[in-house]
Amino acid sequence: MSQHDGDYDEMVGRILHAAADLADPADDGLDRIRARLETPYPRPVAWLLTASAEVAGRALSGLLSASARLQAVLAAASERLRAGLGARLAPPPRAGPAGHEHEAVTRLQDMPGWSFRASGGEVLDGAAPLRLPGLLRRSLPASRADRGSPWRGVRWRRLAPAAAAVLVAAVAATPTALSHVLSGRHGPAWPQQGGSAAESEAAAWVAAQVSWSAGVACDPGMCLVLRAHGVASVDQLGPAAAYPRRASVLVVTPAVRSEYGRRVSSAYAPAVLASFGSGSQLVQVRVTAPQGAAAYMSALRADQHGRRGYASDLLFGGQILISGAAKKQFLAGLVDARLMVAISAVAGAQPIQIVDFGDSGPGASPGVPLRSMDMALDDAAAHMGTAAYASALKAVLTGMRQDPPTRILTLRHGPGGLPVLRVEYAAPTPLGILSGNGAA
Amino acid sequence: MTAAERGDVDGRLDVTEVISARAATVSELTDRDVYSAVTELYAAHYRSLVRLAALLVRDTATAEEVVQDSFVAMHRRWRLLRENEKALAYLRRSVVNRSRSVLRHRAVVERNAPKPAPDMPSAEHGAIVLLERSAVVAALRTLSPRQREAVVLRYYGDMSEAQVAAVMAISPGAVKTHTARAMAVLRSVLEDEA
Repeated sequence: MSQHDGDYDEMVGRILHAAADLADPADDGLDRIRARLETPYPRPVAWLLTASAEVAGRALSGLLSASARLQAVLAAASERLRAGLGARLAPPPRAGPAGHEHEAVTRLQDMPGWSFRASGGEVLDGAAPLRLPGLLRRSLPASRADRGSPWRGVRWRRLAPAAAAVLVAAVAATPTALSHVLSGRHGPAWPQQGGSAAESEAAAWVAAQVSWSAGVACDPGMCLVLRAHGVASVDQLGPAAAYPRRASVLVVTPAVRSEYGRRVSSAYAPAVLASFGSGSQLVQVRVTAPQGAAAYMSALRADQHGRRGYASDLLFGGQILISGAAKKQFLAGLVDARLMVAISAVAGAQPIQIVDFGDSGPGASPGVPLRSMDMALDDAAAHMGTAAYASALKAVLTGMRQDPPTRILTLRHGPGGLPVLRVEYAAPTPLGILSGNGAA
Repeated sequence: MTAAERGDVDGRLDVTEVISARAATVSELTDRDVYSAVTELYAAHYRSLVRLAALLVRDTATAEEVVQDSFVAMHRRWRLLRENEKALAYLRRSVVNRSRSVLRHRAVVERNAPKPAPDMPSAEHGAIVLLERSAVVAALRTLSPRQREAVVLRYYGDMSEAQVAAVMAISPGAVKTHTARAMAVLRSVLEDEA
């Protein structure tokens, strides 16, 4: 490339940069992307998907009923065929030991274990002389038909019911296989519609509190409700299917309880994050235990132990002022480890006053960590105004490289209207952060 | 929690939302939060990608849509991409492909649209006026889509021929050809201007 070409290249580059700099994108790009991620399909597409699922469901049920009718017809035809064969297989009067038939009988008798059960239940053994059906006899050359090879007869007669059975099984299996392919479900149908008050409350809670990246397992009806609340990462359960261990959270509806029974709490999802409704309408949001319930509870206890020790260390420096009830929770190791790391980060930069901890969810199991805290914004020890102090705390929190908070809100707390900074983390709480073991 | 429950500070609701970067607990993406990665890529590359798309589609609003679509698509494919470098390459390729689709669609619409009244501004009016003050930028319109992409990626994106080839899914030789032909056109424009 010549110097001249290089000059042109540089000039074109400069002009393109200058022109492109005039294109100034709006500041809400990230919000728009996030909104798109929360509602993955435009409304008409979502409607179309729902409608097509319904149509497919109806088509499948029609196919199933047609298959049932076809099975009945084929079964009757098979019975008639076998009855006809039975009649043909009935032993004719023996013609005496001489001739081809005698040879055939001899050969069949020599075959070990040969027997044949006719439709009437009569066991035919190799002693019974066999004849080809009339149609086949006529289609064969006279010499061979006259020979009356017993092997041909045996094969045909033995294969006919088997072929009919295979045909019937294939017809019966087709809609089921189609159903598997189209819906990914197995076994009996699950409720396709949700929407009880408790389910709606649970969906709203999941949408607000559960991490976007956490898979949420649910029955088909509940999944619809969750999607309507903007929860995109749903993992639909299938009846009789293996429990989806990929999901982090399981929404336990009456349908899920009836499918999985006590295994839900004893094996799959031991801890309740939040529960809504009561009795038969109870809906629980549970955290799943991929390694089993015992392993999860053990990890939770170990995590709480680690949090307890770390809490004592944090309070030792005197940078953290904490009220009575909150202090008890903190020292008892009931606060989410991510929150403790955040407290450590802000306390390293500014003196802080923790008003309280919260957001464990209604009806949460004991020991489920508290994922939010309110910090007072009027802290005399900080020696700065409310706005400046809030900005300083936010700067520390948003600058955290590991586990920055899910949400930071400035609001008024309690009847006195004390301005506070609320710091929240999404559910479920990862275990093992303080011990460095990672997620449990 | 409603806004009323939250209350206001200094007469206005002051809410800052931060996307979590926590290590995912049980999900398959154990190492990093996808949303955090999206935010990181957004902060680092959104503006430049919009500008790149604007040079291709000649319309800032459409360019923003193109880039946002690409981010959404990248997020859905994050399980395959995982790394920021791969994700950025995917984003660039996606922006170029989507820009091409926009232009194709626009060409069809323009072909079938009724002739506008003489005083009616076109849909692209405004942004293009700004972008095409330079005769060189105006000359970009006369290039074939491939030539335009090659020039924009090479001289605005500051990419090597190999990188351009990867983004456009063509061979480096083809990139060289497209670039040379495009530069011949632009050089003549520059010489005319001089």
